[in-house]
Amino acid sequence: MDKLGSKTVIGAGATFTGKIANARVIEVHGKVNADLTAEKVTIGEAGHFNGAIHADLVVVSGHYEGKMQAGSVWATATASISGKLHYETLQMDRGAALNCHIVHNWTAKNHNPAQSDNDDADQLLPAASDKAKNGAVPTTPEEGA
Amino acid sequence: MSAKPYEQMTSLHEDTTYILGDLIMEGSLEGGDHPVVIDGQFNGDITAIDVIIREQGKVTGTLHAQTAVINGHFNGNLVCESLNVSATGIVEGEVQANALSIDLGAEVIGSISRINAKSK
Repeated sequence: MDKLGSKTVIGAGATFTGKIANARVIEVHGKVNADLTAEKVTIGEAGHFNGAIHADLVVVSGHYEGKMQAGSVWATATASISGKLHYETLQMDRGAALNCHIVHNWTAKNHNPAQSDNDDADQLLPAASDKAKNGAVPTTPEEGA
Repeated sequence: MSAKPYEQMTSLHEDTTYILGDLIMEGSLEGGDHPVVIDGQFNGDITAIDVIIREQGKVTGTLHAQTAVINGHFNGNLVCESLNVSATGIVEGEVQANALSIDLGAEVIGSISRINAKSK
């Protein structure tokens, strides 16, 4: 009967404010202010999402602000993320803008924000500098050379 | 006068807002220029041009639209230019519509009035 499947879409131009429950697959092309738990969340290029996301897979092509806890995160070239990002695997395309606190290896079971935040932040430092090398013109970090 | 053809309104489009499946939403939704299709549960306020509440859809609250098609369940305040309640539709509450069609089998419980009486 259903050619639309079970995918919920917030269309371009639409604005939703409130609570969302029982979501499985949701696509956001409009503006959403909500807290969301889902299996898969897609934020389209024109999409704005404001609020917490708790999901297995999050694909961000638009703007996200809030606290995201996800198994896999894919930030495409047009993505812009601010807030907090807890992830297990992260893919970031060249051009993606991440202005957020990033914590690796988040899992729902053993997550303990009070302890893990600082440890994981330290581990992230080498990875962050790797990204800088790959993304920018190679320069030596020495000063006054 | 009557609402747009059902198929035309439900054709897959990225701009259309779909609330499908077991989803439960609470809050306010503005559909912008594009249709809103509801097959899940929605509590709150909806403002849009075209709104379809499908068979499994259940909306409680207020609904403002140009055209509304109710195949599912609506409870609350409904204000629209053109309203169609299909055979499977149930509408409870206060309805304000200028063009109204109710199919055989539909349940409409409550009050019905025009949005603003046109000068004769």
